[in-house]
Amino acid sequence: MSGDEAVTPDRLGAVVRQIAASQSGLYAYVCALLGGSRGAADVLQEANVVLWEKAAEYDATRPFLPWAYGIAHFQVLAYRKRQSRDKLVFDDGLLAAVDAAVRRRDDRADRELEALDGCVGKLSPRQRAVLDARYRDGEAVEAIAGRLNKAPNALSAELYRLRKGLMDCVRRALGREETA
Amino acid sequence: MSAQNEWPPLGDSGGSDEMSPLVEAVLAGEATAEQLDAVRAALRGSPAALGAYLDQVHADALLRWRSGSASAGIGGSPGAGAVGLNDGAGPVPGSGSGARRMRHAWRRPVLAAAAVVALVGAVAIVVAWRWSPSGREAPTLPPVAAAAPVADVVDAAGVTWASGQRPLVASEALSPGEVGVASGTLRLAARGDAVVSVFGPARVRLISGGRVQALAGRITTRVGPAGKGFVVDAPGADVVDLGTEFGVQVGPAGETAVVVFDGEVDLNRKSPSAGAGTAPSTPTRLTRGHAVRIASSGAVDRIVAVDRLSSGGDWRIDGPPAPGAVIAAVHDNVRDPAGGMYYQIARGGLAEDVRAYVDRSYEWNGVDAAGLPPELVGADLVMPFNSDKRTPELALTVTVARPAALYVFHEPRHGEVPEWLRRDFTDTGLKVGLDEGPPDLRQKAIGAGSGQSVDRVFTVWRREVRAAGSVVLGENSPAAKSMYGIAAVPLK
Repeated sequence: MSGDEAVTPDRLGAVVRQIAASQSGLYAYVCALLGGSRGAADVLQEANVVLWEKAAEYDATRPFLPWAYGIAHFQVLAYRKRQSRDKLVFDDGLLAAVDAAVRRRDDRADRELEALDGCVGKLSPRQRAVLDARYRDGEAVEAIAGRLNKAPNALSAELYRLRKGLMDCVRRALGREETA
Repeated sequence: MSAQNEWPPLGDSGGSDEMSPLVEAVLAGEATAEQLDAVRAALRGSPAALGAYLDQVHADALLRWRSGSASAGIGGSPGAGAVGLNDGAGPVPGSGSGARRMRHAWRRPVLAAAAVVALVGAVAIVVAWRWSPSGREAPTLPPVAAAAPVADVVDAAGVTWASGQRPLVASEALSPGEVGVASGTLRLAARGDAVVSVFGPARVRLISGGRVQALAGRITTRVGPAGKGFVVDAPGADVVDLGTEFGVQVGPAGETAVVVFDGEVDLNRKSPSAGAGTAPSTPTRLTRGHAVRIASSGAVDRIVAVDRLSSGGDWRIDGPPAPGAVIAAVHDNVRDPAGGMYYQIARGGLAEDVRAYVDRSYEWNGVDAAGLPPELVGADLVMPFNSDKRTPELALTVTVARPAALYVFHEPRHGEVPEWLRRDFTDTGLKVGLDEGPPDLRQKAIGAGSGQSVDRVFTVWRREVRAAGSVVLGENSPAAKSMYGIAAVPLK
């Protein structure tokens, strides 16, 4: 909504619903800028607070996600300032490249999550069990590898391939859907 | 990825054992400064490598979000990996609809449904504040990421909290995370339509509205109509509800006991040797009256007896008799040790309409409006197996914890009375009624209250047991239609 328009309850409600609907996308965006999940939940929470506070300033004639990304970006920068540099995955130069790359991708996490369901369903029971142990149960790589009698490095490589395969599958699924 | 990239060809066909551990460490937030240096060096100046890495980060984020672990540390120490209460950024499973899908290990997050609900509800607060003429300060609003409750506290009265656990209060909404109880009973209503009672000392981790992880101690779960498919995740097995009430106990070595009080569950055992990479085992269906213990080795034992308060609350399967207990233990000579059927001891449980057998929904009642004989009301009651009504050479051993009056309820069909009963017990002349209801007597429903819908009249036999010890009861009458009943009161 533009600055000179009245903030109506309906409009504010619409913004809030957009904030809620974009949570998975914002989380993925924050993870990308941070280079991993460490600190992502905290940054997302801080971004949500700011989004909430600025909800009345949102111009409804413009796309919502870039506006939300911009706010999340600033929260990532604030988070980085609080961290010692050697704990950051990306240096400043890489961060700019990452931001540009992520925004170009135009990933839509909500649709990707739907596609991901189908892709996970195509994995073997064993592969699903590995992902389950890692992501649902939060087991350490070493623990999973120990139970499978595998070297931890080999399990890390397997997880890498699983993630890559899933992303390929998600993109194929969405591509087919878009051209159908 | 081009050949000149420093980034190894991960994920193409063979993967790389050199870089993938680094990627895994970075994604989990556990990378050392040296590992981060190595990753930065690999990414710098290589758009393809950066793209490959961002794919990994993106997939990792989606998988975390999907599994509900978006706010949790992964792969760290148990403490570091724990999801703190109210810090759940992850999604929330849907409500009971479609809850059968909970039989899958994961739930697809329904786009922060609870967050949406919380936000939309909170809009009214914001709007009221913004439109209030006197409004000056914003109300305290929960960040969206924290507004993902998966359970609510129903009752925390009398609970002593485990070390590090902040006190919870009734009606408080809980996000995914651990809850620790030192003593007392905490009752939680999971958003997936299940009431979970946590009997201290015990620890659970709330995973989602339809899934709870039992970490230590004893819990009971009663699932509502919409909660079918609710999962209790324990070290030895996933217990999937099929409409029931069941208990799960996790021992110090991770041994898992599962007791079905009502309805039925599917037990998906976890193989300790094969681990996470093994295809799920075929579920074992457990019905009312079944209880099994899965050792940390994976071995399965029958639990012979379950001691439960008459109120249907806390229960125990091992250890010394509970304070005040009269009947300490029950076992038999016929049941397959791996068969999974248990005797239930209902402490102080004999009352109108109390269940008579673990494998039937029959109930004990007074034979008329006068009710149960007063000397029996509040007695410890054994729920045996009705299916043992004509088991030959049955030897059922009842152990009392103190001097007791031991009662046997027997139906004298055709005047038949077992020799052991006539020899060791005295006919008191008292009577109790058995309300069988369906399915045996299809024309009758289970009645409520004394004298209602009584199908069979049993004679009450009594024996004094002067010291703590065991008494062996024999087989029932050959013509019996139902198994005899057993009760005990302290000897005055």
